[in-house]
Amino acid sequence: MSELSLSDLVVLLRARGVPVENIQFERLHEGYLKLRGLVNDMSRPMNLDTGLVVTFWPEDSPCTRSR
Amino acid sequence: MHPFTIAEASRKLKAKEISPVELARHCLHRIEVLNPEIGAFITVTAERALADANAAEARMMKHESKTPLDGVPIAHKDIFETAGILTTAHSRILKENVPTRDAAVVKRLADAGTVMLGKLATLEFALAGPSFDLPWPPARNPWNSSCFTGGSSSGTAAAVAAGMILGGTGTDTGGSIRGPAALCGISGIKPTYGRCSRSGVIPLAHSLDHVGPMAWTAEDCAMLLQQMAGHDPADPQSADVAVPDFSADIGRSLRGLRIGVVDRFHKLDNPVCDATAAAIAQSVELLVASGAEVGEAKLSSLKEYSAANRIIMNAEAAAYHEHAMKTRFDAFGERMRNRMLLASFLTSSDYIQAQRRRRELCLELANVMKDFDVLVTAAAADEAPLMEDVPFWDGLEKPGLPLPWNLTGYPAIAVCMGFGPNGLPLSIQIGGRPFAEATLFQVASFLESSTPWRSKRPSL
Repeated sequence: MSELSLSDLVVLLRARGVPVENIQFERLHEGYLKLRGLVNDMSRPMNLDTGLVVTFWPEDSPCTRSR
Repeated sequence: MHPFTIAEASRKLKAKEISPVELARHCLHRIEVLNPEIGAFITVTAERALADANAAEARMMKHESKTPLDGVPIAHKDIFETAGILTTAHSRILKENVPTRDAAVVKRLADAGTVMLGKLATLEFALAGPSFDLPWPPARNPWNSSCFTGGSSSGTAAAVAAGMILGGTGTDTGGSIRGPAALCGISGIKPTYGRCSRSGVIPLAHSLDHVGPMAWTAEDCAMLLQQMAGHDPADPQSADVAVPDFSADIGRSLRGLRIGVVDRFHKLDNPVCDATAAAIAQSVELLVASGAEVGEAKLSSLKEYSAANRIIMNAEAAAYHEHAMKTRFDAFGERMRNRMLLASFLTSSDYIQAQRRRRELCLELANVMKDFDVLVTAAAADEAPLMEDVPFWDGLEKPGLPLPWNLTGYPAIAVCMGFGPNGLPLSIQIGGRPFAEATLFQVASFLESSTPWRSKRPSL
């Protein structure tokens, strides 16, 4: 899946009803590419069978052991 | 009256060498003189401060002091709810917000006898800034008011460094205590996840948010944390664990302590300036000379920790602000609006993969910590930048040195370790095992007492 181009990004924001008058699109797109770069640079998790850990405790902590 | 540490003030108050009212008036005077330039305070609660100070003084005259913090002047980051006192999150969205309750930590510190001087500047909703399109200016660095304080506990760091308060509260989701502490030359600890209640604190990202203290020294932070920590059923993530004496190990020998230096973080992944590299090297020399065992700790790239943190933070923040983004879009500042728009492009898969990666990185750190008691790296890569040089997408530019400890929930403290070529503070970071904050205070206090940096204050 490729990243959104600047024009796609503008279309998408307009379609979502975002008030676009005060948005500098070039700068937003620059940030978008930085964020996507960050996502893409993160290694894919080794184990996709593990559950999603949203409720989180530091490993080996008294909390982890008691739960 | 020179700026005090909390420990000094506590001793002098107990010995009746100073009174809480004198101390409160001294701080209020400094706020009056310095705040127009520094902008650390959004709201000054002078009447409340004098009432608190008078009550503390009455207790002292009857030898009924509550805690070592009785009569000590503090203030709160403006995302902590304070009953009857404006709580804005430094945002136009909450410009008129006056809560009816105190945040749990605010209440704990009030119950400890502290004197509350007011509410402190932050980045908008503890996320985006510095911004000049909000109802209040951003806080400025007391070492050079043209420079950034770091964020988001900017006002707390600036007010402590400027001697307006002796300590205060901060929150840390991606370095928001340790970053400003580093750039303003003070100490600040992000305790273990769940150590301090977040009840009554406006969230940024619920699975990464930590509450912690900021003060001139690590010892002062230990004294504050002593009163802030503790289980609170009102925060579902609050840890039901005993609160130890956080100052117990301060002054004890470091002999045999195993210290890991995470070289790759500050040499490879986010290379620090020469002065900070020298500060880390000096710290290591001091630790070796004290009898600690020092080795290299090997972890994954800082980019990995940073990416997972940033994805989770932005996604959780976007969920929190979703309604306001739909209904009050223009009330946000430009930086905040843009950050939230960006976050709306994260997918559910991005968030889930980041949480899975987080699990793996937690296990990695847990394994490494079997070999070490504490880890050392930089708290900030360089001295504070000029305000105008802070990138618009600050936070997405380079992997953040504090982020591994938010992602994993392990505690970490920032300690001033000298000054750079521009005369601005340098700082190192010490990370520890879950709920072992006392060890961090031990190591941080050793470094502070082995160097002259705590005797240097900003010229104001």
